[in-house]
Amino acid sequence: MKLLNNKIIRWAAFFLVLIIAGLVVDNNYYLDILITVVFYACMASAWNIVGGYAGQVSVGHVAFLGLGAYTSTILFLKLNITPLIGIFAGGIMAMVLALLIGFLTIRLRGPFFTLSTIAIAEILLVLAVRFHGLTGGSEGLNIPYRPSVYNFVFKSYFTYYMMFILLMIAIVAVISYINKSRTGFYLRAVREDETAASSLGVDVLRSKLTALLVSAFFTGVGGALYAQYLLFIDPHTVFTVSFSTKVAALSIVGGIGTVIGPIVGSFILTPLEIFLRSQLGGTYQGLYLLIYGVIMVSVILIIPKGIYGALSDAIKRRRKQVKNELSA
Amino acid sequence: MTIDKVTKEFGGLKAVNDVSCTVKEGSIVGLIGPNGSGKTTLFNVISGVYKPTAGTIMLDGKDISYLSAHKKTMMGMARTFQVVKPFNNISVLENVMVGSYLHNHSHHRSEEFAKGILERLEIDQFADEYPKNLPLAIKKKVEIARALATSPKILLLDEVMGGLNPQETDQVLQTIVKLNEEGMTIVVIEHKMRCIMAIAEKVIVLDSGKMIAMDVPEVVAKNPEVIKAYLGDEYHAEDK
Ligand SMILES: Nc1ncnc2c1ncn2[C@@H]1O[C@H](COP(=O)(O)OP(=O)(O)OP(=O)(O)O)[C@@H](O)[C@H]1O
Ligand SMILES: [Mg+2]
Repeated sequence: MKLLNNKIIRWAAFFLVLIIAGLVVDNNYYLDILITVVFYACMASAWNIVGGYAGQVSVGHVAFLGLGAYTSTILFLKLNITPLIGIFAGGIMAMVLALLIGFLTIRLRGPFFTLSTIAIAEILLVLAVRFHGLTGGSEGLNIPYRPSVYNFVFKSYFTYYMMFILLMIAIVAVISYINKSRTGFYLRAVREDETAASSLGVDVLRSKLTALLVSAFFTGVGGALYAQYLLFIDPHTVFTVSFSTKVAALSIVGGIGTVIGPIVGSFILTPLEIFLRSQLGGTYQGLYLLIYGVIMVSVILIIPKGIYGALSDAIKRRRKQVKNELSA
Repeated sequence: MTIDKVTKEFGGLKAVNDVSCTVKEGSIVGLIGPNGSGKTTLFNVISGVYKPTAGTIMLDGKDISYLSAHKKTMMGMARTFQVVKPFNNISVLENVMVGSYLHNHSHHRSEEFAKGILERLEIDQFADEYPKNLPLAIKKKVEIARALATSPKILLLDEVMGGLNPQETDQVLQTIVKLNEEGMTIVVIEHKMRCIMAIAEKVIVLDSGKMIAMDVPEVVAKNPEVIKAYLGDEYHAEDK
């Protein structure tokens, strides 16, 4: 019980620091960086439920993001339904897609699942371009800048920042719960060995599907929220496969299958990417991507468990050492 | 459990060929046979890893031939794997908790239950280790512990004593006997004849997928067909 409370206090402190940071910077350039960092922390965490816990590497997660973004935006532009509802509708539509993907692909193991998720994201991209009447085609959709709570458009960046922080709190709460629950144990078992897992009573398909549904919901909500922040969506922004590989990379570098890993990954890599792009983007097109890629590959090669995974292992080892010394 | 005319083919090869037998509730049954005779395949069909090509498997009066593995576990059947399949990136305790979560829904209760089993198998000092860092003997015990954590009525053990030293082997044997005394039905695949003879009430012998004998150990040991089957495989028939 004490441990649990400690954890809650630590998370509360972490979020408090984030909020204070947002209040202190009071500058849209830096607030935008903070928002981007928190947004990617959310998306990497959501990806981690499927990729990290269940071990099903998806590179089509952008499909959920895009579907969430288009759902809330279309509901608002065509039917004037407030994005407050639209955001949840986006999450639910993403879950419906997850269900469909689940039935089609979740029996596939390893690389076949991964490949089929790319295909699904690509199909949605094509559909978004083709259904011009609904989606605005490749020109995309603009959300008019008319700040109000109903329109879910805000003057202050800080308000958006708080929205993303709320999303992150929700995600952290849900994943922390899963982490300790039967579902979490079953997901890790499925990741490690499906045959052994099922021999211990784990319904492998159901576990994978549960993970995919939860992950899709949060990714869809995140996509809808992001659309409200950008006030613009087009197929190539919200259905690009590079989003999926990015959130996967953030999780892997931070440490998959842990609550904190993907957050660590985003807080280190997202600012790094923004920095490299702003320093090298103009003169050396693409160079920043190269450097960024090299850094990521190095981390993965040197510490396969990711930054947080390696740190927590080191701490555990140290504790054990101290314990042994004390008992000796 | 009743196995009736079960066959499993792999592209023409009958790995298990028309095997029928019953395993009495509360008994220990030994399953022996030379390498490649179909013992593990029979376990795989019984436990739901493979579906039988033909035949039926009944448990508690229900036809479970085509049930998936996890449903069979829910019905009270558990097994170990000859080639151990530990969850390498979670701790030993967590490995066992995957099993104990089946009947204990809270984290606390499944942890307590899992700890009890680790103590029982005398591997509680490894609770926080990752299986990949442990020797085979411990991995085999983790394999047993995980299966036990599902509180099975019938337990299938596939060469759990292979690779253990005599002392460890005796310890596992004692555990098996004790579990059986508590009411668990146990089927043991084992190459070490000494072990089978010591604990099994009944021994089933497979050769090239076919059942060639089923009787009490003393009789099976003298069966000429069994001796012949083992002839080219003396190494295993020996008391090693
Ligand atoms: N998945 C599979 N696909 C094809 N053939 C298989 C498969 N599994 C087993 N076999 C074959 O079935 C036969 C029986 O194998 P099995 O593993 O059941 O033997 P075993 O009695 O357990 O042997 P051992 O004592 O070596 O463990 C072997 O010829 C083996 O090659
Ligand atoms: Mg075998």
